Amino acid sequence: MSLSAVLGLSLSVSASVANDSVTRKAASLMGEPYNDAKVLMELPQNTSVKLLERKGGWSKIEVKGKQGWMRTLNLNINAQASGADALGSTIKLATGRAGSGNIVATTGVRGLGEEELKEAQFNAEQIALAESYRVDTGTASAFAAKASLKAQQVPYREATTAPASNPKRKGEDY
Amino acid sequence: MKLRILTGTLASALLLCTHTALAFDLGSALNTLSNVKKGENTPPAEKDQKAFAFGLDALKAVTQSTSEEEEVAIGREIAGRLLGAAPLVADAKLQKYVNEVGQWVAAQSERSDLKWTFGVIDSPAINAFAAPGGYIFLTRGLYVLIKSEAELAGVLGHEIGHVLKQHHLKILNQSKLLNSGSQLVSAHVKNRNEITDSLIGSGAEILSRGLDKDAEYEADRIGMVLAARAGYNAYGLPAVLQEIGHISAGTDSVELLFKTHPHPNDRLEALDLSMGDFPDGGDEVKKRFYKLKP
Repeated sequence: MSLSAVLGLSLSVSASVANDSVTRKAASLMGEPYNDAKVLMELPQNTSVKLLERKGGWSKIEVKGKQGWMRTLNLNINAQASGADALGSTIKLATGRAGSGNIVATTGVRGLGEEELKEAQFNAEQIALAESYRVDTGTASAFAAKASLKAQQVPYREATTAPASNPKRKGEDY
Repeated sequence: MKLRILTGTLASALLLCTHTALAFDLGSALNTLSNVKKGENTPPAEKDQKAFAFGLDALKAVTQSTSEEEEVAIGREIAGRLLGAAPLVADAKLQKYVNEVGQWVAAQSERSDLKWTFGVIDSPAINAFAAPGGYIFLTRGLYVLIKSEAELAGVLGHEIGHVLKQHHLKILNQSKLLNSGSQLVSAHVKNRNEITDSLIGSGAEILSRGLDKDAEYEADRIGMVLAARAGYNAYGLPAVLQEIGHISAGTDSVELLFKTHPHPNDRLEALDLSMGDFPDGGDEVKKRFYKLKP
C-alpha cells in the first residue's frame, strides 16, 4: 500500500518555496551554527528568508543570495509564503525522507476532529494492546545507553516575558 | 476564595456536587447518598451543617485530592476512547520504539513512577494527546513530520508536561463542579458509562478542548527541559513546531491542533523569551530514528 493510500494524502512535489520564514527580531546571519562563528551580515527584523535545513537549535537559511545560519528561535514562519492558501499546505522536508523538496499535502480521509472525539467509544482491546507496549525504566535506560544518551541535570524554567540573555555555546554541556 | 463563593445559598448545590465528586467510586457515592437521605430527616440547622460538611468534602475532592489511582483510571478511560476513534498503527516495532523513547524522557521527570503508556495512532491528523495518569498518543500524521529521536523526545516531553502539571485533570475537576452536578441532580445514574460520562464528558471530547495558552507554553518549556535531561538536543520541539507552522491553517489535518493550541509562531516566540539562551548540546539521534514505512 502506498503512503498516500494509507494516509489519505495526495502528495505532489511543488516546484520551489518562496521565502517561508521571517526574522522575528534583528539577528546575525552566521557562517556556522555556533554563537562565536563569523557574522556574515546583520538582518533586520521582518527579513524574509528561505529555510534550507536545521542543525540542533540552528537553521540554515538563504537570504539575498547568501547562505548562513541563524538560531531557529529567531525565526517566525512566514504564513503568507508558506502556502496559506485554501488549496493545501507546504511542508518542507529538510531531510528529504519522503523524497526531496517540498510536498503539498491535502488530507482526505478520517479526521480526528471534535465530532470524532466526542463520539469515540472505549476500545478495551486497543487500550490493553497499548499498555502491552509499555517498557520499564531499566529497559529505557538500556535503550538510552545504546545511543550514548546520558541523563543530565537541567532545572525547569519559569515563563519569561523579557528576552533571554547570555546565550550558551554549541556543544556546551547542559 | 472558592469556599466563600460556595457557602450560603449554594449549600444545597454542594450537596449534589458531593455525589459528583465521588462519582468515580460508586461505593462511596452510594454511601453518600444514603447519608444525605438520613440528613433529610434531621432538623434544618443540623441538616445545613451536614450539607456544609458534605460541601467541604466535595470541594476538597474537586480542587485537590484526586488520588493517583483515580487519575490513572480517568486517563485510561479517556485513552481507551481515543483509541476507539483512531486505533494504534499496526506496527509493534514502532509502538515499542515510541515507548522506549517516551519512558526514557518521562524517567527524567518527577513522576517517573507512573506507568507511562505511549503510542502512535492511525490518523492523518497532525496532533498529539495527553490523558491523565500518563497515557500519551501522537498521530501518524504528526509522526511522519518528525525527523529525529530528539524531535520525538521533545514532542513527547511536551505531552508528558501536560500530565505532570495535570492540565486536563484540572479541567475535569472544574467541570465536575460546573457540568455534572446538573446531570446528577435527577440522579438516576444507572451504569458505569453514565457515571464516567458525567465525569469526563462524552467520548474523548476532553481532548478536543483547548487548554489555557499558558498551559501550552508551560508544556513547551517542560518538553525542552525533559529532552535535555534525557541527553537529547533540546531544540527538537521547536523544529517540529516550525514544521507544523508551515502547514496552512486551513488544512484539515491541523484544524483541531490549531484550534486548541496557540499558533506555532506564538509558541516559538514564547520559547525564545524563556529558553532563548538554552544550551544547544545533546544529541539529535537521527540514525536509529524509527521511520514509518510508506
